[in-house]
Amino acid sequence: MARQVAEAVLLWLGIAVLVVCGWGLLSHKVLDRLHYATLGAMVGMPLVLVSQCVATPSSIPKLVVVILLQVAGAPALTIATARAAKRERP
Amino acid sequence: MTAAASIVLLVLGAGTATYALCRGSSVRRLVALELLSAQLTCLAVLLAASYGRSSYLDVAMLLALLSFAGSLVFARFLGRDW
Repeated sequence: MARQVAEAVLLWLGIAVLVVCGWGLLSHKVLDRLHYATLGAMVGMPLVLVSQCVATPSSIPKLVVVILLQVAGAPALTIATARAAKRERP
Repeated sequence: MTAAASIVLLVLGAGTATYALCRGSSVRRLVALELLSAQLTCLAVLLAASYGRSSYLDVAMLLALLSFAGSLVFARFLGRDW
């Protein structure tokens, strides 16, 4: 019962963050868009993946790999994109 | 039921990101692509849980890895002086 509640809370929280960040992509400024994209990748996606770790423990190894890839790669990607955005409009 | 509702909501969010992907300069589209790839990875994981197929998790892993590499290459390309 507690596991199902935890799974549902994490899943819906993660999806809410991803949906809100999707709407945030419609903003005019590039850096605002970048903030929303990074938030979705660093918070929303791990929440959804952790919820699935709770739901199906047998898939934890693969999900942990995805989480680590995302958590390690998203900041580097954000920095590179911010540099490109700065170059576009100094 | 919960899984179906969450998948539908995620698809709607991905639709918004796809719309943002079609507008603006190259950097703006790249930013939308980054979020869209994260959403699609989550969609693959939720589909794996819904259908009970662990092979979809391999799709999610590859998508996470390749989207990161591809987006990074694009960002470095757009940030350079050619």
